[in-house]
Amino acid sequence: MTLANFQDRRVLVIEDEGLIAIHIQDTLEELGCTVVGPVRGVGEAIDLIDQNAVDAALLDVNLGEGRNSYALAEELDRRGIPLAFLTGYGANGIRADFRDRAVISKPIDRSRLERALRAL
Amino acid sequence: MLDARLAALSRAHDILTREHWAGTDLGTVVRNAIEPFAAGEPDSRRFRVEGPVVRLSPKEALSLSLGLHELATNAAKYGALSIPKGDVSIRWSIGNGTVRFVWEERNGPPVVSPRRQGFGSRLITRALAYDMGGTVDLDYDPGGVRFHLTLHERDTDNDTRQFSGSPRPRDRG
Repeated sequence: MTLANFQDRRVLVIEDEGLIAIHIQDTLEELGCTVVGPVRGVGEAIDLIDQNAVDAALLDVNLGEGRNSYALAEELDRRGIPLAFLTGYGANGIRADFRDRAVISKPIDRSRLERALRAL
Repeated sequence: MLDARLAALSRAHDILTREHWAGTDLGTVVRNAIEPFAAGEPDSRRFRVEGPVVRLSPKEALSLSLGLHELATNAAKYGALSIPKGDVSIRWSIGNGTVRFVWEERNGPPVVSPRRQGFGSRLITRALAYDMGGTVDLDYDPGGVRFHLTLHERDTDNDTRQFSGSPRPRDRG
């Protein structure tokens, strides 16, 4: 596969840490994706998928202050949008009913993102 | 460079620990961040700091500390703090729920278009805008670097007191 496969892929990103969110955004854009977001909260993310076509979504599991992204994962499932989780804790850190999903381990780099996008 | 950033974060952690991670206010974050660049005198002639009390969450305080550290480091290396007569004006105001924060370097050497150091600063100020839910503008004006941070729709009902330099009693929560 070549870089061109990611051209015009519209990828939603939800991540609460600014530096990580921007790193993911820049890397996805280098890969040719169109980034939807990034956003920090589930409510904002749902507004975005209401208003934009989204081909795939990358979800930070823990959104800080005890919040998480599972409500968004459920909504993406209802809409048939494929997703991958971003976590520093491995698949065991994911809620049991979502443990079969793709996981991108932090620290996130270009090759990990590329691999995950190909699989989605 | 990384060590200095970690030290800046560690200093921000110190304030938050002092306030039991209930958050802190903008003025305290600013004074803490510039202290290493003001030869231990927060109110030295190098810095003018002025603005009302604005409460920040722990996360906002950490992000802002890192951003201010980046600006101050660049000012010390290339900007207004790199020559004896240069100074930095840091001021902020609140109006209609919007906080407008400005870092303005004055009386420094002519600003040249940044290369590598500009990349780190843009990254960190973008992250700052993201973490604080605001917008930033980092302007390499030849007369001095200017950084604007605008925070929209903040709940500022309790933020009307002028900053006095002493921490507010901490909020529980």
